Amino acid sequence: MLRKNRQEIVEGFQEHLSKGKLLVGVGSGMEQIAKHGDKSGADFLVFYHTGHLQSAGRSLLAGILSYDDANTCLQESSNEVLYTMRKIPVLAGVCGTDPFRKMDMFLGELKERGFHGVQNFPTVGIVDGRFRANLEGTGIGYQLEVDMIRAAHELDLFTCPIVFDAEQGEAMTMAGADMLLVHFGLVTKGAKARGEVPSLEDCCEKLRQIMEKSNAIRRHIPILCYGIQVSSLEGAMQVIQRLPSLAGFFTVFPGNVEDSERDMTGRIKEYRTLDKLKKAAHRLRIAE
Amino acid sequence: MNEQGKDYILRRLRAEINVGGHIIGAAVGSGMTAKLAAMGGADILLALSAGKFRIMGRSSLSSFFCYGNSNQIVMEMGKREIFPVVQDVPLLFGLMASDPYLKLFDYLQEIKESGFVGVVNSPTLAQVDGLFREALEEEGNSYDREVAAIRLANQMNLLTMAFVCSIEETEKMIDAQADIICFHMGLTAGGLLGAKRHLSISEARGLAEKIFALCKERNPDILRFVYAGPANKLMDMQYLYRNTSCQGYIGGSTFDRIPMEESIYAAVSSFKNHSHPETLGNLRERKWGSNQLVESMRHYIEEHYGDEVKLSDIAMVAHMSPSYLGGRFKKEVGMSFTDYLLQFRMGKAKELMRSNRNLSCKEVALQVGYEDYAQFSKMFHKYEGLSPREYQGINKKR
Repeated sequence: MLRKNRQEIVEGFQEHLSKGKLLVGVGSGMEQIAKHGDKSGADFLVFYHTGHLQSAGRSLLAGILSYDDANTCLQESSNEVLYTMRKIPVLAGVCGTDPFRKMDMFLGELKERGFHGVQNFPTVGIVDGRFRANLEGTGIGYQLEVDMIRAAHELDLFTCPIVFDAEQGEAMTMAGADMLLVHFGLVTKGAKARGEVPSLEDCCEKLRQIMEKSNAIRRHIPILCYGIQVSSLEGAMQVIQRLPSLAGFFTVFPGNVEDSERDMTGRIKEYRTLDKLKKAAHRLRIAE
Repeated sequence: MNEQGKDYILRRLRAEINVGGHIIGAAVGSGMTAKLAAMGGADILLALSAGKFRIMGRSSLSSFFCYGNSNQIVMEMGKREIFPVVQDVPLLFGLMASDPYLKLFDYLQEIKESGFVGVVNSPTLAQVDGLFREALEEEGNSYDREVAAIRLANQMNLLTMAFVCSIEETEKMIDAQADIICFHMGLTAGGLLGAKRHLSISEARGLAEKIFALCKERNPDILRFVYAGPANKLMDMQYLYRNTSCQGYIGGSTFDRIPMEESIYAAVSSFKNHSHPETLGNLRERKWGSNQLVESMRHYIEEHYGDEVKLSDIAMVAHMSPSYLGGRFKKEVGMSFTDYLLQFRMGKAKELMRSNRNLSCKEVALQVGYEDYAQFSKMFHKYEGLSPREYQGINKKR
């Protein structure tokens, strides 16, 4: 387990950034994968509670639904990851809206367990529409996650909250966040088909706004981004060119169900291309 | 209940509609609410995780989120809390069918064996909208799974109630042969945890009409209910009964959260604030504008000058620091709290001595809150320039 406190982590990252390097964070809910965080070359790891769900064929997003008690799952599945990781800080994905936790006590437990910091995951920030309005109206709001991050900061935990707009970025910076992770929003197949996926320009604009607002509160707060728009190297390059002050990127393994399917079918297909070779060889053998 | 079978229950519900005009159902979350709803005459009960969360003082919407496994919550509640106390009212299981940990057939079997007469799709994705809903659907957390569960439950001879929010969902559920179509009108309005944004009653009527017309057209035997939403008063429901072909009402918050909020609050506060309900109530609930706070403190002095009055106690009750409260008081009244109290008491003492000349000075002291006569005398002297006895003497001469 890495022995570093918040101050040391923050300074380490600042040094890293001052050399002109990017920060790359990685998130995972699967213990087997999270354990490779050290070797992956990432700068920090965020561990989520979604391992069981992902084994059952759902993605991180389903982590927000009432299939599991997120915070309990997180605690139960985190030990092995925390013991194996020696080089980089490990953050916990904490469900800040959980109404059955005295949040500061829970965060204290996580700290004791060995987590270096926290992130607000699952977050109601991902929810939209009338449903979201009702959530906020009945007290299950993003503000609770801001409060969670504040409590974590007071406990001297490193915090890298997920934010979706400038307002949230502002609130999280005020609450003491050490770093912001800007989420570019959900992208569905349906939205792709309708051509409603926010363009890279839109994302850059949003990012710029968030940077402006949060930098006004605390200068040089590192900002990372995450989204399908920057999942390709090309997209990421474009964002860096437009916004050189961007601190880095975040990525999740395994991503959505589709990705793992693609990886698997891709590999199988590669082998399948050998079918012909085999047949040819076979024929040759017979001919001989 | 289970032994009588689905057909019998449906026959009974229809008879109830024929005789009484409509069905009343209650979405319950604990043994107590289930028992009382049954005693109140509910024809059908729904064990929902939303109900459990409400009883625990959390919003119904908590049932959608990662605070526990919804199905486990319902199963445990049914087995432990409800069945032991309610046997004669049919109970439906609120099933979250998209749960990836379920083997649906086996689980429905378990539901049946546990004594539930049927299932209802709740929490239902029908309530979720936007891009979030679309993303969930695309990766398998879908309404279609709920439809499939209703279809399978039907084949397993379980009573099925389908929550729907739109025409498309209604069509799917009719195809799955749901026995009851229940138009979910959204969160219940009103009360402390109620929805701030919800359908208006006339919007609800419009959509209900369309949904029920479709039901009647496709299969007139389907029972047609509505759930929650803006209709949390009998009057609203009468409006819906009159203006749509609705045959029943399922109440959630209407039958647990709202009545409990009101009655528990009233019971406790009536015991607590029995003597001076308003002043204390105002202080406690922080119901004050800029000057109401100081006004409440002055009222308090008026009511309590005969007893011991401590600024620190008032501050504690009002959840404020004594120094802040004292500062506010001085700023608005122009003198400190202690001076004001002293002035008030001395004024009252003089009033007493004037109105009742037979009262001894000691009694006067006691009545204005001084146990110690010497202290009273000292203060009186300081305030009036003469001792209480001298003051009384002057009064008697007049």
